[in-house]
Amino acid sequence: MTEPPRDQDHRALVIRDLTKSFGGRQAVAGINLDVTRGNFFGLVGPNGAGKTTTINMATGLLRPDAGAVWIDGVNLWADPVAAKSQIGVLPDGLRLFERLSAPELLTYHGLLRGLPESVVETRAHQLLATLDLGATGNKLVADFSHGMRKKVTLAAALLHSPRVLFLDEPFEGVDPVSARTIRSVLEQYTANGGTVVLSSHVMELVERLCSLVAIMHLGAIVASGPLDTIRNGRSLEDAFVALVGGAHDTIDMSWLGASRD
Amino acid sequence: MAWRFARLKLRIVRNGLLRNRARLPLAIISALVPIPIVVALFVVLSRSRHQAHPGALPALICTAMLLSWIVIPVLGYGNDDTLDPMVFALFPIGRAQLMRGMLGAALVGFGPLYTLIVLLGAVVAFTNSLVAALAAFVLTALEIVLCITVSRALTSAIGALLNSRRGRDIGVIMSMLLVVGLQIANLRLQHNVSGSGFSSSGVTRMAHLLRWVPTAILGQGFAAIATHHWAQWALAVTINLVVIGAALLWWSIALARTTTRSPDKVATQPARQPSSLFRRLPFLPHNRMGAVAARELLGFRRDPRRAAMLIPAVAIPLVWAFSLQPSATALTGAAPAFALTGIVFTNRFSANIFGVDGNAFWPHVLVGNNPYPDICGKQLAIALIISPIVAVLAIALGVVAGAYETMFVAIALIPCVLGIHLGIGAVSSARFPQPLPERGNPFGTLNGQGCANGLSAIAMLAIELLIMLPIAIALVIGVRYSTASIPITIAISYAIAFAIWRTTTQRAGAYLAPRLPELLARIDPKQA
Repeated sequence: MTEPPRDQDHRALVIRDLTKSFGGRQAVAGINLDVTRGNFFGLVGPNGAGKTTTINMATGLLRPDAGAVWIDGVNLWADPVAAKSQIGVLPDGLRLFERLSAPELLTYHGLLRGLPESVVETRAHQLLATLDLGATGNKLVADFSHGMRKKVTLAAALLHSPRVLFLDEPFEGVDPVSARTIRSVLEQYTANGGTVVLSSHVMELVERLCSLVAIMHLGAIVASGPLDTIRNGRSLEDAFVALVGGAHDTIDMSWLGASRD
Repeated sequence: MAWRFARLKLRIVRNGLLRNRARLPLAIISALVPIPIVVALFVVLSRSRHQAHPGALPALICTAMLLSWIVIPVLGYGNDDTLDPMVFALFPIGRAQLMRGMLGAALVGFGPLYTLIVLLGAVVAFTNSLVAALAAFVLTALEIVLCITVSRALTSAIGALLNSRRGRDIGVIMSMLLVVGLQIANLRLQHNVSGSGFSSSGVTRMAHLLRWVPTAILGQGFAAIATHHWAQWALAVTINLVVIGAALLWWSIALARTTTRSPDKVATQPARQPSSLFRRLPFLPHNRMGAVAARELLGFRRDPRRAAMLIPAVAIPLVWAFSLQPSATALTGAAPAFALTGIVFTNRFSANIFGVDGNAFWPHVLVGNNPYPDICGKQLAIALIISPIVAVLAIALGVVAGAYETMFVAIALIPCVLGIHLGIGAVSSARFPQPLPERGNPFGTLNGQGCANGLSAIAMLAIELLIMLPIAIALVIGVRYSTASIPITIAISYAIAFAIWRTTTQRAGAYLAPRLPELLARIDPKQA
């Protein structure tokens, strides 16, 4: 893909023919996506559909076999420094520098991004307070709960005020109170013009937050567009199952729950 | 149940070996590394009958085997699921069944095979009839069962601790202390070995010290077979049966406790004022390179994987300084120079500066394509940590040996050796990044990764020695024949070291710049 798509001025993310294989197995099969600015975009799909691989390629963490990604009009793999300065990521797996405290981790991320230390300090303080992490003090990230790790990673992703925020399963393992806090932060972010690309298999969450949705299955986009168009009068879960599920409905498992004779 | 667990263990070993077929040869080499030691022990034991005290060597070797059965599973915890009773906590398996199963699994693998081969040496040495052979096999079986029950009882008792972060931290430090301890033991052993075999006095003294330890009594039992002291043999069998019974009881109690409680929580300090990255390191530049250096320095204090890498840097120069002297009682004028080897022995870290980060390195990939400040930051941290240690070692050795001239030369050469070491390390880290496993012993795995890490460190060592050899020769000539030439040699060395550091570090940065996603994939701990 040498030619960037035309008329992308209103699009925060453009993906064209993105492909990736691992050992002969195609994880992502030439997908195309367009995400307009200021939106919540939901990428949904069953486990192993290729969502994380797509996000890793769209953020520069994994090199694609073919295809191109534009972030705010900048070709990610042609000019990675400029493109990466526009994005924040909450990746899958949440590997962090475990032996730092939350303020130290945010300072570190800010300085890696080249932000002035005073700016980092102010923003880190505000983000940690907003995400209920202000009282963690010198506690190391290694000793954080899963929800706390999600929140501190989100804080790190927001620190430099990115134009596009990629979130891989942001609410997995997060308690309802923290989830509400994260939602309100994200809503404030999109209200100010930011774009969120959210990967999840929790349909209710995607339905509540996202205005645009793409359904991924076996490495391909099987449906994409505004939420109401995809739902077509049904719940998103029903639409999702109709597109990718139902294969196991015919298997007889009458033994399940029956008495053991 | 024992057979099912044995098959599970076989599957784990097989999958570990085949997970990365490219590393299969390295995995096989790793598994075969103990064979020379095993063969040597077999040969030594098989000849022990002709020693002045024939029971001394079997007593020592049986005790050493029990120790290794205690230490190695603790260090390898996390690599073998059959060691962790928590894995089976939800299965409807009774305690006795679980113990039988874990015993069955413990009998599978290279460990029991090597133990058996070594003990066959005693069988060969002390038997000349069928009855004697049967009696020796009873002792062999008892030793193996004793090793396994004590080993599994211990891992079950401290399983919760070993599953915690604190436990893993302790394991890392222990493994590095073990490596250094083996090095020291090896050097001590060389002093005790004469041309015809072991010096019997040291062995006899050690055996005498250990005479009340059950495994030593069992080892003496082998010698009793040859002299037909059947009462002594029966005593060895009885005592060890009692110990095995006690170990089984301990194991049973430990299993009940471990499988019904949650892992130990790590106590956290009460919240204080949030600390900045540079709170205790204000002298570092407040930029990307400084941030990387600060994080690494904090890591040396908080992360035992990094701290453990410093243990050889301190211990090995000291051991060498005291062992490689012409006189065993006094240090000579060259002693302070051994301190400089401390820099070289940080190679576990400096030859693989990204490996210890694992996939936590992703923020670096996410911020752009300039890894040069990251490399420089990591180098700065290593330099700040190791330079004072080497300087103190050089001063201590210089004062003890009264070799002040060598001491000053050694201290002056610290930046020079560091420059060469860190430069070569940067290239090694960029070209051959190695993943380190997250759990258990980070220095060894089942799939040859430990062997790959070791080979990379050895290759780096060889290249550095090759570069430093002309400098060392010039300095020795200077010390011997013309002290006036020493400052000139040092100045030239500085120029060479700076050129090497600058060129190699820049090349490493330039090589990595377009390859950061590939670097991230290669240091993923899942690859380890």
